[in-house]
Amino acid sequence: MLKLNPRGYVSFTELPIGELDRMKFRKHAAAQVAIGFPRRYIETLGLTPVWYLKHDTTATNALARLRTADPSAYDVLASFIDEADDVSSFQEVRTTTAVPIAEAVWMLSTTRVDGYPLIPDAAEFAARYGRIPTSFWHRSHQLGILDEGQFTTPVSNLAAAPAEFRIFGEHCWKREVRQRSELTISLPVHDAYVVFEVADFAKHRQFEGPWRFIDIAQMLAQYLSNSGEDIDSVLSYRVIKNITSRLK
Amino acid sequence: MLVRYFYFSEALAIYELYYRPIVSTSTEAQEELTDPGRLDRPPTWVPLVFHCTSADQIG
Repeated sequence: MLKLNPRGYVSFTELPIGELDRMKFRKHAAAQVAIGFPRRYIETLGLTPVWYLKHDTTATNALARLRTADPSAYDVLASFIDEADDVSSFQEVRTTTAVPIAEAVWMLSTTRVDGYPLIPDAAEFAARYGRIPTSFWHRSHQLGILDEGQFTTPVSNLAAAPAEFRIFGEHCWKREVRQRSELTISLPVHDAYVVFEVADFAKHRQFEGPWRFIDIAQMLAQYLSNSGEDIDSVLSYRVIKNITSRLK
Repeated sequence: MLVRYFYFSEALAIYELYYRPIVSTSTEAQEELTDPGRLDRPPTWVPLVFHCTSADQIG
């Protein structure tokens, strides 16, 4: 659960992913994380932009009068007003309700171990709520995956093991399915031992692709529909209305 | 979990549109933005919002 901070709200940014790096420079902590939620879901919790009034004494004076005349009305607004700051460039939105972490759909981390993003307690999250996509938090990575082919574990396996479903961008997929192998080249005078990067065929067969993200979204929506789920209910926060119209 | 992967994939599909000229993905824009060299981007409406914090604040 993302709990309310001492001032009574949870903050989010709606900067697009190509600009999300800006958020890292607010704090000087080396290890930072960004947890992504569907905007449509956060809207249901009362998503509200923040009103920064540092430079507007007319507005702050009006608020002061409201605080005196109708304290309860002022309290409703107070969580979305910052009279001392001017950081609207962070495109901050807030909710005044705690946010279930289970609704998160993507986690980014500024730290990596062996090339994989390090998310605190990621294993515990997966055990409780299921696996979640994770990425290294860097602009080049966020933009890079948009141009990559995506590889998935076979959708046909979903019925048997839905919890095993995974998505890899091409860069990470190559790391999964290729290995270094020393092979012998016969030269005129002697043999040479050369390291090739070759496919691990067994691992290669465990993936399908390359897909675009829209293909994966459509396949998953179609699978859920075929499984008897009401798409309008189970995917109620989606933004693409006719997501299953192309596949049957 | 599959619902989560759906929302992730749908969001990234939408973000793919962000960095392309809108005339390449919108029939409405193709009809309206006909002057040569016009490369407007789509409106900045995001499918995801992010809670950003230091790693020691979670877990």
